[in-house]
Amino acid sequence: MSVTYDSIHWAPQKKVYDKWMIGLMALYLVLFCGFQLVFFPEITPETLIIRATGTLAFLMLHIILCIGPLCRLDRRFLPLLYNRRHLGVATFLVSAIHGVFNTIQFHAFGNVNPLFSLLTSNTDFTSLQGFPFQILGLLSLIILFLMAATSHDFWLNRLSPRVWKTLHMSVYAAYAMLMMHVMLGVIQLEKSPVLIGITGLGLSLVVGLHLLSALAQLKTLRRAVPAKQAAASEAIPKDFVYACTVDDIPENCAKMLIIKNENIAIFKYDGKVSAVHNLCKHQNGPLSEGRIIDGCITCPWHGYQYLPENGQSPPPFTEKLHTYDVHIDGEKVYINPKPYPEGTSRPPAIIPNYLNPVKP
Amino acid sequence: MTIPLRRLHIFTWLSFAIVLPVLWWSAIQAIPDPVWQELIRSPLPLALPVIVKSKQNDQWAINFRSDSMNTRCQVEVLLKKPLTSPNSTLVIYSPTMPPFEVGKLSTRGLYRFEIVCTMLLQTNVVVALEDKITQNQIIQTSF
Amino acid sequence: MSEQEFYIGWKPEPPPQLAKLVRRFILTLLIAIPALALAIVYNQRGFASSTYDLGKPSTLDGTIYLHPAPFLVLAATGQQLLLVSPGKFGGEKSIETIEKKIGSGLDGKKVQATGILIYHDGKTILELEEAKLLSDQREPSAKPTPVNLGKVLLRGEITDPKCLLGTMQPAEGKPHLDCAVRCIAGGITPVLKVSNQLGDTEYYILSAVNGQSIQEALLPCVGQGVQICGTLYQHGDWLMLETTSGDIKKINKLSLNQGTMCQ
Repeated sequence: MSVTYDSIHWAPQKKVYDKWMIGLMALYLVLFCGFQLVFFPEITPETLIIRATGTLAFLMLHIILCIGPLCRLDRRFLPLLYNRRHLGVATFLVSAIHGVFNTIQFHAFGNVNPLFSLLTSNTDFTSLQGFPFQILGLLSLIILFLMAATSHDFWLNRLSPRVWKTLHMSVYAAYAMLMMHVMLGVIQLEKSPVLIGITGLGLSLVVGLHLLSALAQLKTLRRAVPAKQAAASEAIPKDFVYACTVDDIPENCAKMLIIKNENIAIFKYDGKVSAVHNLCKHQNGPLSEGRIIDGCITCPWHGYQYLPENGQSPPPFTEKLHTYDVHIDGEKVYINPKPYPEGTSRPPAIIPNYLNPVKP
Repeated sequence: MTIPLRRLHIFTWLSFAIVLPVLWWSAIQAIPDPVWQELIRSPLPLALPVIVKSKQNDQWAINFRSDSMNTRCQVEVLLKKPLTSPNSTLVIYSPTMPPFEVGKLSTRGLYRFEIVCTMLLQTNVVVALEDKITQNQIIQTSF
Repeated sequence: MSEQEFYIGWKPEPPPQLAKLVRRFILTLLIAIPALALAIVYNQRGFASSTYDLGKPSTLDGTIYLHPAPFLVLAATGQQLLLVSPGKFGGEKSIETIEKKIGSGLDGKKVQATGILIYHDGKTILELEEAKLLSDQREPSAKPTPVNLGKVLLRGEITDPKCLLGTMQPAEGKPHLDCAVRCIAGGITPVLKVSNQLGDTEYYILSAVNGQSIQEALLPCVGQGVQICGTLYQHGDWLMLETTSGDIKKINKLSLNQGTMCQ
């Protein structure tokens, strides 16, 4: 969390993350070039750079795309998500080297501008065999550039988390185009079943993990809709709807609810229950998957914190969430889905017999 | 992630799970088959029937050929590997005659050149492939 | 997951249980990365042993001819070097520049040429940089006389010989298609690369009937399998296929053997 914009807010774990990222990238490049010089010493330096950076960028994009679903399937992978933006920027930089070298190698020093050449040398869009795969690479590079350029929290706040997240979801289109860039490009020449197999393995891994995660998310979304209850008794205030039972919410954790299109995280802590909007102000992370730590709701993605009673980040931070009224009747928790303005203090509902809970 | 975004996310990957493997498979089907073709070159002189001398290594095979009367002779070269020099001139050295530049070799394959038979019948004949641009000897075989 | 295992990125250390899983993930990458690098490199098809003598210019005496393609016929050996210019341009560009500089045409004249040699598989190209006129007299006798080898149908790939014989690896197929288009559009003499199943290769210079340029007509067919009908000539050291744009067909993958167009 930060109250000002630094170029990079260097938390210790970010430094460790980046050291490993750069180390592993260097390991791949050194090994790739080393193996090339051992097995194919005839390779030209330009081709070596093009192939080393192209394969590395494609590998990095696979890793990036696996991190999201891995975290949704097993939250122990969340440390990999924390600094994924640096991994994304590094992927763009490696891709850019690949793209620039390719453009110089194949399009520069000719009778037309290299970019014009890139766009016009092959226009056989109607044939899969002849499809101009470089255009797919260029479009992917533009997407990766837009993502890298807007990766900073400055742009996140300027664009709003919703727009920012939507823009950054275009990485999926970039992945699809890059897969076809590889398959309709170098694979058309190399043809090796092992290389084809590697692309197939990568595709299966990314698509498989995302499918598993999508199924898990569908389940979560279904569970977030409260079961229909018989008409509430007179003891229940007007406009309140049934949410769950007290026992449905783990201690110091939350349950996600979708009531009348409101996405709500309802937390249980210290014998109390409070409800806030489920989306973190930073990147719209799911607060319902967070924890109460040091008395604060803590986002699982980047550790942004909010007080459960008023949805405000503790000073000096300024982020604020919508809050909701909660009512407890026996074991049943009711919620009024009408949000209060962000940061509005609402008294938590007290769980009866919290110190001596009645066991069934 | 907002609920609409989350739904879009799920929908995207459900679609990708169908579309991407289909495109991937189609791209494999589009891989062009190799285009083989018998090479067409200038016809070689017909091989003379008698192999008088023959030697070979991993780079080339050389046959000295003649007719039954030793009135016509040939040197036959089978180039086994692509050449990596800017010029490849076949030269025959014999103890009693000046070096004889037989001809130029080009792509991998078979070559046949007419030579004078006195050259063939001598001992200590050396057949060399020389680069006349860089003045380097590329291959040499002694008979 | 206990509270102790909840991950907060801005804390100095991750919880031990999470750090353990991340370490395992990194260990997996440490094994996968070398394996992947090796598998990708080892399973490439390989590269030709072609040479581009970049930074090592050669000076050679010979006679320049512009038709049917720009050649330098070496005085010492009679070898015929195909001429190209620096960048993705045919030999005509350098020749025009030199002609303007010296104020005299070069076609058929003896020169001392300086340039970069490009060679592979017994074929040699000179990337012409400079030329000094040695004689202002035309020497038509040095020009090889073409020998007609008859009408043929050949299947192969149209590409540019400059990349193919030295400046690029690989210089064929889809990844190189755009570059070959650029080179041929820039005037580099196109060749048809033909290979047999034994791996032997021959390079046929493509020219239009009457020795005219055919570059523009070839562009849609570059970098892919084609079959070409034409008249084959032995033109000194090079084989030359004289054809028309109507006699060039892309090979459809599913109809490889329907090649009866050459009557």
